[in-house]
Amino acid sequence: MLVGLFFLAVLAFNFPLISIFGKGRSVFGFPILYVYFFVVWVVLVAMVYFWVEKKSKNQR
Amino acid sequence: MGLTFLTIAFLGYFSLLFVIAFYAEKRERSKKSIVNNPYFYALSLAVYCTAWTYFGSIGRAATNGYGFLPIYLGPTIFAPLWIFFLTKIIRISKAQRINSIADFISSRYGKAALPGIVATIIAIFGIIPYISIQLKGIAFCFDILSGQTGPPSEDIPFYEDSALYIAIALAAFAILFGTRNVDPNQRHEGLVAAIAFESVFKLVAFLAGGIFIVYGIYGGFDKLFDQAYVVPEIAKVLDFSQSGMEGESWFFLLLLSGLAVIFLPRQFHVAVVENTNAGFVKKAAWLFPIYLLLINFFVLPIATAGLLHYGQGNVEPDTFILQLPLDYGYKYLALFIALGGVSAAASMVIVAVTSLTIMLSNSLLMPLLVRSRQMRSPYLNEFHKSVLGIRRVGVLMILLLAYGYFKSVGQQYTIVSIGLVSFAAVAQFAPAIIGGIYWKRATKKGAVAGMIGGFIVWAFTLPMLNMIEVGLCPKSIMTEGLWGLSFLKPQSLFGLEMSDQISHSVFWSLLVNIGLYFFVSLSGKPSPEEAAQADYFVDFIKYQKEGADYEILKREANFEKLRSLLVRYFGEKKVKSILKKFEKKYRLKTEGMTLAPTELVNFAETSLAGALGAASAKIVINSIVKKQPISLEEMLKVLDQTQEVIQYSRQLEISRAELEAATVKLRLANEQLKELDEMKAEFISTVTHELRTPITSIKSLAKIISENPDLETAEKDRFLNIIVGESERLARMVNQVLDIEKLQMRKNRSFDKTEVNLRERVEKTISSIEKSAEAKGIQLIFSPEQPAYPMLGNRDYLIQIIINLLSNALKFCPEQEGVITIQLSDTEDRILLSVADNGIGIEVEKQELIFEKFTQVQDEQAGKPDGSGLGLFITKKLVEQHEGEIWVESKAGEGATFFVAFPKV
Repeated sequence: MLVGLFFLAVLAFNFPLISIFGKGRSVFGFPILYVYFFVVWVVLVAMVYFWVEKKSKNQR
Repeated sequence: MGLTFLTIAFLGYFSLLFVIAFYAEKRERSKKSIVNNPYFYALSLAVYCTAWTYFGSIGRAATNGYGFLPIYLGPTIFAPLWIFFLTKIIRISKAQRINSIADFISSRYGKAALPGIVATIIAIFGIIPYISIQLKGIAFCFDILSGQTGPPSEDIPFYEDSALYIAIALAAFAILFGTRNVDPNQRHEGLVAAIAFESVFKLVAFLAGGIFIVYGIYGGFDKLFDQAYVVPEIAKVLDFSQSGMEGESWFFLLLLSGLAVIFLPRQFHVAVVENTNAGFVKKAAWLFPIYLLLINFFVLPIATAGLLHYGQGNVEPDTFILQLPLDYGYKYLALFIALGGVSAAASMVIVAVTSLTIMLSNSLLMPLLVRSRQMRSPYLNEFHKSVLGIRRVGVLMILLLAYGYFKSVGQQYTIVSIGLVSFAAVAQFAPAIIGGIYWKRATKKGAVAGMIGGFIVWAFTLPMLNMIEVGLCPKSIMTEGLWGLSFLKPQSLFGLEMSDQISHSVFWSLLVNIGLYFFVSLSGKPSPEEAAQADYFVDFIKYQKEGADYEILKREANFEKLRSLLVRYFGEKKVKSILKKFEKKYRLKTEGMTLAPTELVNFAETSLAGALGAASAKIVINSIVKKQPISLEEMLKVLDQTQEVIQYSRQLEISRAELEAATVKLRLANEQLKELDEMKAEFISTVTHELRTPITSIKSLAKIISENPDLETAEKDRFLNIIVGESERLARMVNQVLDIEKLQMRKNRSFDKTEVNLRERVEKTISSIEKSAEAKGIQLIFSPEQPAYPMLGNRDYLIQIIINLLSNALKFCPEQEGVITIQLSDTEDRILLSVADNGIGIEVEKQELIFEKFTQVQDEQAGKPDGSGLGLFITKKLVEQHEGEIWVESKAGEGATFFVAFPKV
């Protein structure tokens, strides 16, 4: 599952997706790409967090 | 702001750090550590963010937009993978008391000195540029805050250069923080506490700067970006395509930073060496990316603001974060931010220098010194002091070199571009380490070859390029290639042009590194020590489970010698506690030991490795060990013996199988013999019964004759005839019994068969009984024109078969009228012999019985016929021995025809 997250991250942060969001602006005044990066970032970290928590629960 | 004021401010901050460090160490000693939790661990990883993050990222964002981001996305992307990878490395390192990245490599490849030496050299060359950019960052702070708009540092004589003094000051801090003892555990809780604190501090300071600039100056993100998009040059920066990160650059940066976050010596140090609990990695895997996210959140906005305010090219973008508050009159905020920046830079330097000097002393100098005879003599009494001394000198040397780099090359380049050069250098560790924990076949030579090859390519394509551009090396190398070979141009090896020099260098250096690593490993064989370590590292789980200290070498040493050796390095007090630990773990008493057992020797070596590094510890311990570690020959002998044993047991298996088969056969044979036995018993009883009949007759008749001397002659003659007849019968029977015996004996052996001519056999037989037939007046008919009928058979037994049939026929034929017809014919696959008579015939029920033992056709009127009843039995047996068949066709009263069929040749 972790490996899957890794590959998801690689995809999300790499080319094809980035060029889609590349131009233009304005989501709450932020450039779209900016928003994209940071939102995806949070989502990925949250996924890792949930995985870690689940793992520790299982071990208890 | 006056320089004095600044200096005091900074010193004040560092004193605070010291206080924190001392407090943390006090808590550690009283076993109430504050550092030992996952949050401190994750924060310590944040030493990844240095002056680069503070200044360099903003500078990069101002020119390349999103181009600053991959450095932080890389670690985030790789975070899920660390949970396996880093945890494994940590566990192995704890077990083997590994104290630096060079030590890890040295340990994995057979506790050998060479890999450690190579790794240390790469680390030093790679990290000196990185340290120099921290100096640059700190120098910015000083210069800007003190309002110096004077000539750039390169024109200042070095004794007036603030950067030099900063370097020296940093060296002092590094010495005080990081090189205080030679504790085998090599942990510095004070250092970690200080780092964690400053991670928080720098984050807060940066966010403060960001919030001020965005909200304080511009009133919010939307207003900021609104203004930005109006200016076309700035709008371009915000567009991704401006990042100059098309294609492979983005990808390579992601990869590079993902590797660097573990393989930078300072990162390895905080992530592995200072780690207290491998379980912390899981929390760090999401905590650290969050930190990165937070600290990067304002980078692009600040860059945008700076561009808006200053336009392009007027102010160095690396300094926006300080310039902006300062220009708006917020001096103390600027100071606060500057403290954050200096703190970030200083912590990098301290940790980096700590880990580099550990490598220098343990993995570079120690192995060299310990080999030389000098070190083994009386100097060793002060050894632990020497280790510290070496490290302190190392600290100073490294910082002075970094300063030198800063002066000569560092001014011309942006922070980020220099930093990436270091990233590319430490990437050379990746194959050796990643391969080391997953690929058993990797050898020391392979790792060394890979690292050296990669390093050479790196050096040629990056630092050398910088030196050419700065003028320290001839430009011709760039224009015409090294030694005039056009495919050896540092900026485009073999003509390959990539989007940027970093990607180009990473591509080639890793290609050469991995290629050499593979091929050299595969073309050689690991030594016993390498193989043992490889097994340990790759299959670490199984060693963990077994819990025992991993032992392959059986060695003992004189206890006193071992003890005094340890005292030399650690001092009496430490040695006492080491021995106590050993006693507790192994439940052995060390008091009164004369011979130190293997466990103790290994335990001592591991403890020593914490101070000296694996390679040196091994050498030192081996110098006092009684037995040699298992040499290659001994190992081979053991392997041979094992092989023999395996072969032997395999043969046993085979023999057992064979034995079983043989037993089965024997059992079968036994059964058969029992059967035969029974048959024989039955047979003998029958035979003796049958034999008794004529014997009884003979006896009784003879008795009658002898007891009655006046018997009538006619009567006497009659009796005598009967006696003669019975004797003959007896004789015949005995012969036949003997024949049967012979047959039984020969059952499993086929008798000699030759090529015989059946017709000829028949003729021979006929000629021998012609006379008897004539005497009885019986006619024998046999046509002489019959074909030869060759077959495989026994000459004598064939005669016997034919005679038996003929004599039977003679017996049952009426005298003077009897006709016996003998015929030969054939079918497709058989030769047929038929003997027909015109006697009394055989009833259908008896036609099978007559071929059995002692069964005869009885004619009530004629009385018991001559013969024993065995003739046809024998004949049948003989026929069967020829693989033939015998049967009779007859009707009662109408004669009988016996058929014998032989298989054709």
